[in-house]
Amino acid sequence: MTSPQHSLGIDIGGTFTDLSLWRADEERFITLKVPTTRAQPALGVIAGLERLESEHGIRPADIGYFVHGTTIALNTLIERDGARLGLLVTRGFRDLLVIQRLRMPTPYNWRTGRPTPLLPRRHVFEVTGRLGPEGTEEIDLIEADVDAAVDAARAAGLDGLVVCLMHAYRNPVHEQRVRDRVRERAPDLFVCCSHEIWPRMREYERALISIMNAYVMPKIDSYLGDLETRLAGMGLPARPFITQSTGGIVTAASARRNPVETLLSGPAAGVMGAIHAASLVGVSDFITLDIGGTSADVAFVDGGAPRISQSEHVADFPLLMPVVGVSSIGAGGGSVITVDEMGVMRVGPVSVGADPGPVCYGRGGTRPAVTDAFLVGGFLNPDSFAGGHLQLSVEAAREALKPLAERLKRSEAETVEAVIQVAASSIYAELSNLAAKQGVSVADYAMLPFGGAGPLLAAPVADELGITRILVPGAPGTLCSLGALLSDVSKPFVRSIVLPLSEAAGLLAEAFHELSGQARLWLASEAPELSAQRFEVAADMRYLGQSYEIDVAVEPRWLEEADLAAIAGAFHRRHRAMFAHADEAAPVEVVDLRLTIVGTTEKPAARAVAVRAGEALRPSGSRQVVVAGRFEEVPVYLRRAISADSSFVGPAIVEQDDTTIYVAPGWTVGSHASGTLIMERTR
Amino acid sequence: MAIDGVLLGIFNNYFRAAAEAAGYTLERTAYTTFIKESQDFTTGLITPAGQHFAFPVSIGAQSYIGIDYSTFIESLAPWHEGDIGIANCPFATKGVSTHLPDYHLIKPIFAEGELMGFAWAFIHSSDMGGIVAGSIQPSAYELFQEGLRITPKKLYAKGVLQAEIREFLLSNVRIPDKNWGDLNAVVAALGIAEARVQQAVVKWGIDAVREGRDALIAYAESRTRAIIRTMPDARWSFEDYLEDDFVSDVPVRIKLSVAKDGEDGLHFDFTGSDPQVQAAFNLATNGRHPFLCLAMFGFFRTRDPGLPINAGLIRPFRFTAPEGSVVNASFPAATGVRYALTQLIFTIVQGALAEVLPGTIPAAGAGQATIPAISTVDPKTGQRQVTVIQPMIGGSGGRPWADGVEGCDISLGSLRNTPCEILEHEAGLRVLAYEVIPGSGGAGRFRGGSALRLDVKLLHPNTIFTARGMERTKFQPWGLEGGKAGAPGDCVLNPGTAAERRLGKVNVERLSAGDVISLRTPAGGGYGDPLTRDTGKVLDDVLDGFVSFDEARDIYGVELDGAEIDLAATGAARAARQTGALPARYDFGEGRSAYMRQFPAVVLDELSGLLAGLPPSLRYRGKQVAVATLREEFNGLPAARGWLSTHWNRIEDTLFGTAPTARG
Repeated sequence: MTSPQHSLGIDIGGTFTDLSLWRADEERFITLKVPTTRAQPALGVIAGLERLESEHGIRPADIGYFVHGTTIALNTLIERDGARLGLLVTRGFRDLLVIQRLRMPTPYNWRTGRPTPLLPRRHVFEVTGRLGPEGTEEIDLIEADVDAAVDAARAAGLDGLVVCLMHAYRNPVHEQRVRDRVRERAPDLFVCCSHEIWPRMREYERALISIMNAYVMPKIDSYLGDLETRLAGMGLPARPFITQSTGGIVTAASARRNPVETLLSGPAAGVMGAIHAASLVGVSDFITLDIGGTSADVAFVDGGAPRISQSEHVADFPLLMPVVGVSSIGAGGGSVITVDEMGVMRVGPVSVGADPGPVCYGRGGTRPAVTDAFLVGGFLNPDSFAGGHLQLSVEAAREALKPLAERLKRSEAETVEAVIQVAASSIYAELSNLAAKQGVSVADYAMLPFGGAGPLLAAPVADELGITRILVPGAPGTLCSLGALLSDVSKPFVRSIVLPLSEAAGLLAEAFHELSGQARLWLASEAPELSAQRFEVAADMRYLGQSYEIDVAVEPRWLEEADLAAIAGAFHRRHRAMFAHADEAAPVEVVDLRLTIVGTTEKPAARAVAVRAGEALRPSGSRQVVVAGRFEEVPVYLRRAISADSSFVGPAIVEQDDTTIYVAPGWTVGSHASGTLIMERTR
Repeated sequence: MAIDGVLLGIFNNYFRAAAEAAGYTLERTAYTTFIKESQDFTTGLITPAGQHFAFPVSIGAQSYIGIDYSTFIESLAPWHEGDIGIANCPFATKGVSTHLPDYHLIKPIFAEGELMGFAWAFIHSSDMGGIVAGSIQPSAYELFQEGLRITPKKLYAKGVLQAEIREFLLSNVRIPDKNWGDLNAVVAALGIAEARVQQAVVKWGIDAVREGRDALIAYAESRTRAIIRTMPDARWSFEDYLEDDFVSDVPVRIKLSVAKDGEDGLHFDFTGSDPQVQAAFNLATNGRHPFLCLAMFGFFRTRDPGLPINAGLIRPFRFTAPEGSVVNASFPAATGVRYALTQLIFTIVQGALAEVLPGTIPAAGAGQATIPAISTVDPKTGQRQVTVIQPMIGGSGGRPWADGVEGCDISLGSLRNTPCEILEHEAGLRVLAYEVIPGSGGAGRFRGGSALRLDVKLLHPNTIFTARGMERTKFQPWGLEGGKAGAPGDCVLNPGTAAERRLGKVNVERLSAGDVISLRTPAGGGYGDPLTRDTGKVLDDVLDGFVSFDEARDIYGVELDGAEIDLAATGAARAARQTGALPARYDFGEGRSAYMRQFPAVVLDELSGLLAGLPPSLRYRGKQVAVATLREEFNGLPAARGWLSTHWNRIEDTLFGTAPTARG
């Protein structure tokens, strides 16, 4: 930051809005949590800014850089209150949204079914006209069909139209003609075409990306418009940047055009924050464990980079575009504990959610949840939960656990221990599956827990997985806003190839030039001040005849010099790494070429945590905590009192405003100059 | 017991994860696309006595829960560390494998010198040799045509690959490299599961693991029995048909009687089912098999979503499945297409449950998966290339709480389609339509899921078209509790042109460039009286084009005025049509009703009894002759009960070649 002005990252979550501010004059971070107003998320942002001013003297006018993560798009999808849309498809494909990919979520369960489409069949309109798979026109487009669709959409009072025609990823000509025709006849209807956002082969998934984009667009548009006005009104000079599902950021103007790219930005920003925290202590291979009220999410980080996935789901729909791969593995603090008639304990999959929440919240919850067990077990301090914003009731939680203990014929402490073990085993089960899917050994990774309950369960889970190192960042409760603040400006671009590699040299070179030109233009208008930029290029490739592609990093010069052997070699190596075998004699196909442009932003570097040599760390107190099934007096440390050379052993509890850390027996805690706690398994 | 409910809960998570980790490893490292795409494989853990104690849930085929491995295990004893057994023969393994393309492999798990159980995996191989590429041919009449038959053998002995077994195996299949690649993936997966169990022994001790392994099965069993206990103590039965057996037009009848077996068990009795057929539809169950009760597993899992999945689910069952019948075929019956019958049994169990648990069971779904494929000669390489077009299934049945699913049945819900854009890249065709068929779903308070229609235009000359697995082209998916039967399936060549030709059930068609194939699936049956369907839903169906304006009026009694419901007229129309009479529980549709009029159940039961008196090898032929004789004798009118018994010697004469002129 060359400017003396401060930088602010904000993340709006379901319960809290988190702020991470880089205070340029003092070279340190300030973090804050304010309650989220779900109906009007901008209020949380405003409230946060007001608190920064009243509590820390930070005036909005001094904030020169502002990054914002929003869940508006995601919530609009989940709550199904987006735009009313029509869809124009190639004749014969009216049921694209009904049939989907045919498959059902839980076969053999009679209650199963596919997700209800985002628009009904009555608003799907067929258009005559056809392109072949090479993009050549086989049947001319009949514009009268477009006119009829526009009239019907008008009559139905729709907000906008989405266009997805066969093979438009190869040749957009028909989609463009449809778009122009709609604009001509109905300038008031917004139009979104499937070739514009992520032009890849696979008609259902491509249509879905455009539909989701158009569906959330009006809400995002009005929210960001409103926010920009309010911020300007408060005198905040910075143009807001918005976090993306890829872990990058873009301007608000870009986000308003392609809001679908913000859908999974919250978890992505968390991973980016985690990468930053880990990099400060020199760790680049780790698993994030984000346990909040309703879910536990994990991500694998290799070599300091997030794993990019092109097969995530959002609100039950597949999202086939690149995003930071974060997997939800169930069990959060709200997971319900049950013991059945046969005395077998389960944790989840049912959750009490944020409302009413666990019994101890005292908001009408009656079913015991993991948080209740943590409270009864002495892990949580009832008076300082969520920074003291929520007083917890130990008595109510004990009452709720009592019937479970009776059914198990166990003491209260043993019951708490059982909950922790069963919860850890279910996280273990899911995590070990993810590891097997990706062909990695989890014991080779460190673990970086965050979220309200991550640092509580990290040690028991690590013990199950054979992980021996845990990193707890300085502000694990606000890692998403930190990640937002530290991300680079970036955007992915794609072009469909679909040719055997041996025939693709010309098209690959052409596609690379086209994509890199597009990307440079985009960055120049997006953030002209960023001079440091780079390309990340990848190809989706497969053996000819396979039905799935793998993501292969390629070097630009291979494309420019038509070095097909180098590309093939990279593919075989990647295939071997992922699947344990490769066939170097078999023909290879290139499905897509992808290019991401990254404009590197300046990163603030915090001052090191002070070393207080000679001054031994003392616990702030102690309390009864369940250790190995029995209550035991355990020391409690305050996080802010821990200096860079502190060291102590478990069992211990570390308290801080945004989370509680459990140091299990057999673990030793050391602190790093960056403020990150490092827990290591010692026996 | 030494292990309590908490440890049992942990073991349930742990061992399921072990089975799933093996599954993900297999999927990840397998060679053939088929395994990765259709997940036709499973992994698991079995006890030394041959029972599943852990089964994967999030990955792999779910229809093999509770297979009995004891024969497979005993035939290769004694076991040593590092052994891996392999087999694919349905008869030598007593129903472990159900057709030859499925390789089953087991690896013993030793800890502290004790055999703790076996890691298990099976994969469907894309080719096992035999009569056709892919090894499955409906017209195969004995096992030997269907590929290489592997009776239990050790592929590895004490960690050493048995090269002669490998050589013998790979020299009998069309794609040896891919098969070997897939088998290596299985070996890797077995190693993962083995290591997980050994780690469990280190962590919790050998006594806890031994006890926990058996307790997990007992736990699943007791939860299953708890569900059965809530079922009424009654005897109920149901029957349904394969429309034909491919080599003749005589339907194949499956009859099931169910009764409570004690207060928390079930007896499934298949007496009255037809003799095994001389085509590839037979089930080799050894008389006890999950394929005979899969719908029950679906029912249990719907009732108790947290039910642990292992051999405990099948323990409450007692089966009677007559040897030599199509549901318990004898060596060397052909079994390649056994899944058609498994699907049918799924529907039959549903039909039987509907009678005893009204209000909880859906109507019949399409219950079939047609796999249309085209084979063309690649102009560049001159090689013949086979492309599966799309799995064509058809809607599920209306449910007592919701409409059926459009275009796909629930028991086949793991199948995924191919994006049409990819299809057009890979095969010489254009997709002209891939859509639901309006009006096809059986009418009802809850409508049956619609049929799908796929029209493709062929671009290459000399194209061979096949469509394996077509069913329900005459005998429609039945409606329930007043709901109507779903539309039957069909296949039409060049629809709407002068060259239009109805193909019906497709065997093999030689077609040319420009020909259009139009394949239409069956649709799900409806549930409940259509006159009680929510009028708003009827309006939605009309606006969305699933139901026509006329159908709304004529079938649902809903009078529409444009996009509005005329409430008064609708009320009057519906009231006028209330007869007060309870509708029949099942609506079988015209095709099956006509067949049942001609061949009443009592006559078919009589025939079944008479056939049982014949030597097993003559029963199939006996049935064909008897049906032909009845058709001739009664000429479309109902066959009379007793006639067959009176004239049985005439049929025997034909069979034994003692008649003056041979019939049939």
